[in-house]
Amino acid sequence: MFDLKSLQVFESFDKQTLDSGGPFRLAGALLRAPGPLIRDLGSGHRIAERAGALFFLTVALCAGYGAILGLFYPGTQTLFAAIKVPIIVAGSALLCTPTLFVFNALGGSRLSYAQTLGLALLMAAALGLMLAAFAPIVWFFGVSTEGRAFMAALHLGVFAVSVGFGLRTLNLARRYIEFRGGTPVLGTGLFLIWSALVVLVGLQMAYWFRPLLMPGPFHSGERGLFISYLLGS
Amino acid sequence: MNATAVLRADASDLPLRTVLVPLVLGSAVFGASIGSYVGGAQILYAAIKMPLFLLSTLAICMALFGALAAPVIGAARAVGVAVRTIGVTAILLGGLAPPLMLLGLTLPKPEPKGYQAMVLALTAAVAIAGSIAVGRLARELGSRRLAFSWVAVYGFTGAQMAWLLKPWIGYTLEADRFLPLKDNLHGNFYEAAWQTLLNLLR
Repeated sequence: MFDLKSLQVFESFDKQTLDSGGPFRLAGALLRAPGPLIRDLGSGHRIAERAGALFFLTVALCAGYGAILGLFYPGTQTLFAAIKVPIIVAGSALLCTPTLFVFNALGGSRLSYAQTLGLALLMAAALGLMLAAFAPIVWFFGVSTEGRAFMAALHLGVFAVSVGFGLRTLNLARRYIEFRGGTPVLGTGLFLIWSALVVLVGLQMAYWFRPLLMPGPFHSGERGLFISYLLGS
Repeated sequence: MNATAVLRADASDLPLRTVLVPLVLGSAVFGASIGSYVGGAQILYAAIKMPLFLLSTLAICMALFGALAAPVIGAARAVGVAVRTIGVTAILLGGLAPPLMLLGLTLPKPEPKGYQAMVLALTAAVAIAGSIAVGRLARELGSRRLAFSWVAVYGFTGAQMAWLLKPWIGYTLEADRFLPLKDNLHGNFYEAAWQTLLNLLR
């Protein structure tokens, strides 16, 4: 069920504590000692406070990264991107929460909707943290290069790594909650399907809110599918 | 002496300011040896730019280093480990400076082969110093995977920083430009490398 390495990780999580839950303290805990936060999400303890702090963290960190993304063309685009990136990240997580709740229930989980929302926001906050960690590097390339294609590729790479980190954090959380509670939380197969879903939703949201890097309107209202854009049609 | 203290295997307790002085001196000496091929003002220019290159690349990468290392050693300790690793690299590079300076003073110029030999020697020196420092880093972090991820991030960012701060050896043999920022902001290292590859394949 759980391999030795996972058990060792979970045992270390059991020993971790978190006194207060302000957003920035949570950011440190998310990186270093996520055990108490995940325990609270799993038990429903202080769920509103935890979910609220995770939402705030997601918005703040994503807005920071968005501003740096938009600095490639300083001006209105900086503000637009700072608003759009949190909408894309938090919006994708929130849009996919009902699916996560249903998948959880399918697997026999007893997590409430609020707890499920907390898990989705945990993933989004972890994603935002990784974006923030990459921000100085992206800023440096943004101010030292003129190549739009290179910058687009760089941002795509950063988002790919950050999404991977966010989903990995969610995977860790669901397995730890299962370890402590004894009841399954979102089996591996359903977790993979939900991961693919949230990535697809995120890509479509990013496409719908384009442009992100280039200057343009906040929202063009133009409909389309991100796949057709990728295929160049 | 501070430099030998930094190089010792048990240097993990050294305060950061103890590491910074040999870091700056070692990298400045290495920079001067690179600039010796062109000579004149280029010796001073490269001596100033090399510590700037190492420390500014580290500063830019530090947030990501901290995020990657937080679950393993904590973000705060990660700062010390990162600075000490760059310190070890800089001191080793400083130690390799004298033979490099000899090459710089004796290689033929202007001559493509002389320039290329200098570039190769510089690359070899960085490879030697870097390999030793990475080995030390992996031991301090307790994780080779984490060490290699740090190296990948630093290398990726450092390549662009080196591009931004060029010239280093100075193919044109002109030492009249400390930092032609306006020229360097056109293109970037990776675009130039890609274009070079395309040209080779055509």
